[in-house]
Amino acid sequence: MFVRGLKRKCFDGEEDIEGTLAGIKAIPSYNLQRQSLLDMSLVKLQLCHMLVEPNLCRSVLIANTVRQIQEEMTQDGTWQMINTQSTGQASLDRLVSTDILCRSSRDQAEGKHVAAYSTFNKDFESDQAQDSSETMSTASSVQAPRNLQSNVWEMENPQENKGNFQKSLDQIFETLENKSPNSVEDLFSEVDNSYYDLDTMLTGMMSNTKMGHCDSLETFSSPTNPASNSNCKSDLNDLDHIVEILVES
Amino acid sequence: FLAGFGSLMQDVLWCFSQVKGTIDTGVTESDIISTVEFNHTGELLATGDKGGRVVIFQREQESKNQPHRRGEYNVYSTFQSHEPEFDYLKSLEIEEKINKIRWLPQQNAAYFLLSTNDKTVKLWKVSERDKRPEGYNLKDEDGRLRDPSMITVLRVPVLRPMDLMVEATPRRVFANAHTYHINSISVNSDYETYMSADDLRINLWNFEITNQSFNIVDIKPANMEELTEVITAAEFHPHHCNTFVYSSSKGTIRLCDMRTAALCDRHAKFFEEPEDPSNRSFFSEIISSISDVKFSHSGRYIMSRDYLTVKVWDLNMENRPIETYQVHDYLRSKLCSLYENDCIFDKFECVWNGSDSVIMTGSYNNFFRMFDRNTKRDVTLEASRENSKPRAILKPRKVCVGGKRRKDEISVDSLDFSKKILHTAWHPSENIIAVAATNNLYIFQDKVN
Repeated sequence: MFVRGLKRKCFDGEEDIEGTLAGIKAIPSYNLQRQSLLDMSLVKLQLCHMLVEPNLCRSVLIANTVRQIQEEMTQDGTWQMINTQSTGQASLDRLVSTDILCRSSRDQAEGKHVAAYSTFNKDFESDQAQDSSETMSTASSVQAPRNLQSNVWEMENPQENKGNFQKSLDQIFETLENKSPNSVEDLFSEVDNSYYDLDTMLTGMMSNTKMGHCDSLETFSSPTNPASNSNCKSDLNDLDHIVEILVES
Repeated sequence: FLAGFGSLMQDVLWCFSQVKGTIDTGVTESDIISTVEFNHTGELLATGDKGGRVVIFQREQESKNQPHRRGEYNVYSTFQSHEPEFDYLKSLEIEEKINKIRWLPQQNAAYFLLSTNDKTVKLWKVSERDKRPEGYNLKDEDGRLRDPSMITVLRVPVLRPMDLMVEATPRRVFANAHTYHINSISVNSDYETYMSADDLRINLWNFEITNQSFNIVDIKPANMEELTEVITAAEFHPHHCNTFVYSSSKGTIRLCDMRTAALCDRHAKFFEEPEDPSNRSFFSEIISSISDVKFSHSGRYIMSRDYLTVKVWDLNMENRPIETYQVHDYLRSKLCSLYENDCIFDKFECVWNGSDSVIMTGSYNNFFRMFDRNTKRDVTLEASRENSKPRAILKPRKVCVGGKRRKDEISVDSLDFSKKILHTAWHPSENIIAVAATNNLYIFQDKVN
């Protein structure tokens, strides 16, 4: 059960070929560990939004860890590499989009734009926007990129959802209904890409996480066929399913 | 109290004395003890739990007939200090869990303590009643009013003895002063004021005034996106009423003097140990976060607890601690898993003994550790039902770090991380300790010859 703790490797500047080869062999596993730590940290940050009252100290420490990893990855140049790989993008995508769930109920009632993109850098943001425009038109505007930190701290008014994931989803759907229109198409045209990510995120989270307190997550995702983790764009079938839920609720 | 008693670790044998709490394997969450504190004489021992209750134990008088039963602690008073609340403005539940209890020094027959949850501090008065007046003129014995026209004789009410009743009444409620979660309260040595600290701010209160408090520390950044550090603990100096310290999530301790400015954002002293570059990892900051800070009784030293160590600092030396004790260094290689299961965020407390010669803190698997500052010896003991025979001597425990495990040792991978000793207390003058293990309170004493 225990994994060896991560230690930062000290890359010295020698251009020795053997050293470089050995270095290359060592790098993937370190990068993998670092990536997994990053993923874990992001999930923790977002899960703590779902709890009744986020522990500020814990959130700060996790956010600082994320920032450290981010900085190191930027220095290494591996940050850009991650962006171009679809799996990497998908994982960040699906984790990033849980921000929707973290909007306070008050924000939603005020009709604020529900989908907020939190990004690590502007490059990532523009890539994502390009991808989304391929599958469907996003009528709603994309919010200006915000730091990850802002998601964590803005929650001076975190929503009261008693850790009930289902309820947060209900609130999102409720907002959609309130905003709108009668026809399903109109309703749907306002939904932007992030909801697909939501679905993928759910199924992705279910297969990844061992966290026990997300029981309501399981109930929600069981009717849908789990989309593959690497594919961040759901089929139209899943789209229909979401619409079905919206209409019924 | 014998001078020097307790300062030589090899002479102190700790024995089981009592355990409070149920034995059920299924623990009710609300019964989990969240704070333990002796009063200034050690006569009373208070515990607070997640359900918002306070239980006070009183030490019974020592009897000459049973000299080896040195003053057991029995329940003296139980009351509901805090109730769960709902903040409608923020759509937030406010937990009733008691984060800290601090006693006021006794000034009359009644006892006073402060108890706090995340948002509200309360001053409780605990007093005894063993007499009651009888023979009122206008009321009969049941309290019903008598018809004045039926009274023909006047009498003087007299006080008659009754069964001892201990009452707890809330005398003050200090509310609505904290946006963030209160982690510490500390009574000032002037006995007129106290402070309450949350993640970003520290407030100074006067005991008599509940609708106002002074903000003395504020580390909230103008832009919350820039927040990288929070306050984790705070305490007043035991003798100098103008001095206090607070610790942070970045492993720093700041000492402030309230005489210099109304808002003590600028510290008078700054205690931080430079980081050891060979030990650097992504978890370095998290494990450096200080979970507790305590002045020594003398006021000359500060003790801080971070995830893996306890450090003693001399007030006159800011650049490094004078002593560092490893609590459970074998966890250093397991930090990733401990991060995953959130154990790395556990907040352990630490305490001094009465003479400041021994320090104690908790660990996992219901282990707790003591370090003798003079002899540099340390011991690991366990709070468990198996070692709970009356006056049974506690056997030192040992964690085996790789290699061959000896018979009595336990391997790191077998440790139970759900059994954590976060809260402990040491009697102010004797070798009596209280250890909170989830929902059980263990009391250990040193062996009486």
